[in-house]
Amino acid sequence: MTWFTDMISLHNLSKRVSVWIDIKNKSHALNRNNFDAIYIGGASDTSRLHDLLQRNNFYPQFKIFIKEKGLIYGGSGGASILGKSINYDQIEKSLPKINESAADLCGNYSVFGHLDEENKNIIEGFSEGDVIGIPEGGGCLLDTFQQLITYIGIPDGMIINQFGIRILKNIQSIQYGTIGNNNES
Amino acid sequence: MSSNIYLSGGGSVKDSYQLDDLFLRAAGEKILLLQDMMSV
Repeated sequence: MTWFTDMISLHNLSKRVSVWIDIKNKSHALNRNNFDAIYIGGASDTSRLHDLLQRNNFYPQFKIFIKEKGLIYGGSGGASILGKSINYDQIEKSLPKINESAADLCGNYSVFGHLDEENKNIIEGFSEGDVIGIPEGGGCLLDTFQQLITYIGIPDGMIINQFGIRILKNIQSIQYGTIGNNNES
Repeated sequence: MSSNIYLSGGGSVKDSYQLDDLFLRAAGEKILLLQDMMSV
């Protein structure tokens, strides 16, 4: 937890931080009365993180939390589990695909972190459906009510759906619900 | 703009500084950190 409080201090801010390591039987307490925001860090094993959160009923609670105007941050594997599926991660690691959805909070998009020249062919294959690819040093902000995605970062990101590939540039905002169709803005 | 989901592509604290800053300034006071769950 020290790294997290140190990180907050870097921004000259003060927060009340709670840390959950054992999440068994805690999903009921994950609500807006108790928290304003949730930070989910990376994991070396994304499928295990997914399994833990799913088995402990956290995904439905995340949806309610967002609906009630809470904020959720996902970094690396923590970002992947906020998308539709973690299967792009599974493909990269040559691991079996996972049948069930992840948190599915990003429209119909999966999220693929650590995007680089070596692994971008994985998402360009589009084998697991719509996907947002984010390199290290890049980040996406989603407004799920307005279906708006804003990209920040100097290395470009990518957003891929049935209509093709869009490169995401620094401080670019796109309505992700209409990418590629005639109503795109 | 009122973003509610923040996605980082990974990397160091320095890499994600801008995104972290936007998140921390938008977040209220009470933050839940889900971390090291797989060690349990």
